[in-house]
Amino acid sequence: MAEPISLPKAERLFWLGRYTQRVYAVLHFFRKFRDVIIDVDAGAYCNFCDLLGIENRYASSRDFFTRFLFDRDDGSSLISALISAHDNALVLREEIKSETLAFIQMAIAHVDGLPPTADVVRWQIVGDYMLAFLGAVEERIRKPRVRDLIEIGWHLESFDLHLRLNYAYDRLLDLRGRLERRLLREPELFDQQKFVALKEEMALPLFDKSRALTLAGQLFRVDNG
Amino acid sequence: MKYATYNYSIRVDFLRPVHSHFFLLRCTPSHNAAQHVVREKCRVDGARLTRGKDSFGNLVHSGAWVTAHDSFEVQTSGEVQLMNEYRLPDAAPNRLYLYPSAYTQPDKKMTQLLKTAAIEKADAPTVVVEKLCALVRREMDYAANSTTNATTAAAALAEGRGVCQDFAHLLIAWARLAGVPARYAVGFIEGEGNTHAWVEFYDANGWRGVDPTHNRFIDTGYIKLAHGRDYEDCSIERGVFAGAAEQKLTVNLSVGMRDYFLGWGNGN
Amino acid sequence: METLIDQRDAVNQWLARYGVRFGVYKGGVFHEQLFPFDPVPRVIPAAEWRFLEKGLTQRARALNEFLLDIYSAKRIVRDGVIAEEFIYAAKGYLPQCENIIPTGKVYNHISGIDLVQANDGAWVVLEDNLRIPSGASYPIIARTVTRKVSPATFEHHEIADNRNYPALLQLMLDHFNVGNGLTVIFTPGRYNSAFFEHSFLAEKTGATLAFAGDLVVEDDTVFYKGLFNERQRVGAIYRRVADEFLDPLAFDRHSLLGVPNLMRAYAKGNVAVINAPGNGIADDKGIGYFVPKMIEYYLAEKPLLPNAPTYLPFYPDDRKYVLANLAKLVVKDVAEAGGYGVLFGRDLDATQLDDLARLIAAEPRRWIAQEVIEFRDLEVLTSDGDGRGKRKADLRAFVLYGDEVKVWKSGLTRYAFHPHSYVVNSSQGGGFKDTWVEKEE
Repeated sequence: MAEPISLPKAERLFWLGRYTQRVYAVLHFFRKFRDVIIDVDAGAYCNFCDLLGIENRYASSRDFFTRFLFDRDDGSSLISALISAHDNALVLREEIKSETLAFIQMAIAHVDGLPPTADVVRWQIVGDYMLAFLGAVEERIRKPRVRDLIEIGWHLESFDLHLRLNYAYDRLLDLRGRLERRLLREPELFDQQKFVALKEEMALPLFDKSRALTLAGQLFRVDNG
Repeated sequence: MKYATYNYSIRVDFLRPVHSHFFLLRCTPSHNAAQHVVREKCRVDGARLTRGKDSFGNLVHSGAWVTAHDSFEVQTSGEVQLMNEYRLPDAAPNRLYLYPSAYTQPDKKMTQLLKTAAIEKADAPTVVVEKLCALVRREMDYAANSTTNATTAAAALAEGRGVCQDFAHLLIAWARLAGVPARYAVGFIEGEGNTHAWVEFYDANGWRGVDPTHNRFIDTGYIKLAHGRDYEDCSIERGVFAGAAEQKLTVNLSVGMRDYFLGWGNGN
Repeated sequence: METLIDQRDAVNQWLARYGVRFGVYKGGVFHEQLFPFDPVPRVIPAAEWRFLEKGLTQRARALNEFLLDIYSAKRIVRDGVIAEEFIYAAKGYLPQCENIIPTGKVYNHISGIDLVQANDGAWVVLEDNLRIPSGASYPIIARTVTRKVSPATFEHHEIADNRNYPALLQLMLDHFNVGNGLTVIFTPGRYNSAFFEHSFLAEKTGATLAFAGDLVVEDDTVFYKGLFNERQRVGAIYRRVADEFLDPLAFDRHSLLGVPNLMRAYAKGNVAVINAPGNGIADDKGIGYFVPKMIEYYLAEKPLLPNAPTYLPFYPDDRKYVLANLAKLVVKDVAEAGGYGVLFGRDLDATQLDDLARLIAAEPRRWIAQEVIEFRDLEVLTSDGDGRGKRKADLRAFVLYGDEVKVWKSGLTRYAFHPHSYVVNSSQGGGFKDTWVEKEE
């Protein structure tokens, strides 16, 4: 019999995937917005917050540049996402293996060593560690379900963020396709009807983005009685 | 010789449903030299029970009720043949019963009052216990609901009042200090609406019963469910669950005593 | 060994990568800190190890016999070898465990026995840890890392590999597993000081790491709760939760860390609990004194490893000696652990000594006193002076009791934080070393 996975563990694996992707992707978006802020519109960070659906608690673009990266009291900051990834990973060591966990440990250790005003360029390696983490998930984890849960979290987060940031339709379809291939491997753990509804919504000529986001957020579902 | 029948129920109503409910019951008498169990039954609707003995030799039922429920009822009933004498042979007492336990930890007041009990070195255990019972009666008034399940012997003595649990704890604490092995016992007696607590003490090759609340040595009429160091070891119903904490407890007990056997077809 | 020292930074980077941490509570707040590692290993020659192995095996066997006896017939008390006060008044004695015979009649599946080496080379036992001894993971990781960083070091030294601990542990756990069920490592949670070790050992042994809510007892059988109400039978629980929190229906009723009715399943023999509940009585500081007597009583053998010279103020002769020599003794409160409640007479002033004497006279059973052992210094690397220093160090040896008794060829060497300190507990600062056991010729 396959070794069982408890519900809290399944949830942690899924959120580990989401948070690592969030660190990786938001770091990328952050740099793109930084260009816009420098070249076009100093207030573009407000736009960034609106699109991601996070509270705009920043006084200026300068304030945004440092606090969005380093403020541990700001639940939306990158460091908070990294800490959440770490919190989940730490209690999953025996499933994901020390070698995989190490990339998150190293990312945290790296950020801990930065001055709190450091520029985002110093975060480059954190993004690299997240990609290495995903590679280690693929390489080191033997239980398919453990791998699937992390990867579904990873791809769902990617789809969610790109949708929020109004990426081109064909990009979204591509990301949704990656997600779908993994969802099909775990039909019991995810609400297939919600996924069908998501596809139907997105097939409309002018689809409702917020409904699509809501449906995506409701995909993970475990009925444990 | 008496035949005693008992019908006992504990019902807990929860304000909101609870789940993952696990429990351990000590509500069924087991066989000993002073009581022969003719028949007994214990059930909890909605849950499966398993039987066993705890490390003190008490009969326990354990069970789990994982799904949501807003009430929980233990129903236990049976018939017990009670001997004329409450005496449980035991070649040597477990000396654990000479040491203080959580509820019977002596304090300064207890050790000082003990000196006023006029116990002589040559006193037999029965005499010692008799004197200690008198001391309990002197220091304690019976007052319903004046203490809680968590009240220790020392705390009850400081208040000067308590219920059967406190009387038993205090007598046990004093008996142990005076060198007489003593243990807590809980069960049913006639004419009470809930369980009763008394004391067993060791006297020449066996345990005898004494009821400090009623200030008497026990001959018959007591159905024992459990014994142990103190209240902690003898919980009738102990449980943990997830969910709302607000609950209402309803207890029902009826005990009947007859001098003859009713036969198998009666009662429950 | 020099290469190993040169590679110190590389070693530390690897340790950070593994996240070798332990948790401490400071002012009620939980912190995780790295456990400082000193690359100079403690080296134990083969012949010396052979002797230690025999002595430790003997000790573990006698302690197991003691536990079997104490929770049933108590012959050793009846025969007057140990006064009953040391059993019934001890915090570690749990009447709830009376007459439960664990599967395979083993209580101390994993013993962590703390020793020091005196200046004359003799090994002396300080204390036995039979409840939930921790620390085995650190030397495994230290070896893993040092072998990665400086493989050449191991070409020149014939050292027994210590990375087999998880395999030994797994073998032992499988031996006791009931009904071919799941083996779980049961942790109190990530805020426990040894959580790192719990998760590391789960990874390396392939056991499932279980938290309180993951385990349920139904029909006096333990199950792991999977997804969709799947229940998988659990056959062995390597628990790292203390006895008092293990089962809220048998012990502390307010415990949220436990598994309700676990003791029922255990009493019926439906699950192996490792280590057995109730072991606290055998590693009570007051009982340590009697271990050489246990060896003679149960095994009819001469004790190989001596205790540190110990006095029990409970006995009038010992009390007289202790009160007269307080200034040169180390006094321990039997109710405390983890380096707390340890008082060195020489560190106390006259008033403090008087106070301590009064405490001992008032509650003699609560205290033990030991001669201070002048134990060997080990070399450590320091960041000041010439970079080398001396520190007091102990050794925690791990003895696994499965179908046979095995002593792991390594152990946790802990050294004191300050140059002249004798306190080597990790919760009091200080660090650790790898322990090298030389291979037989």
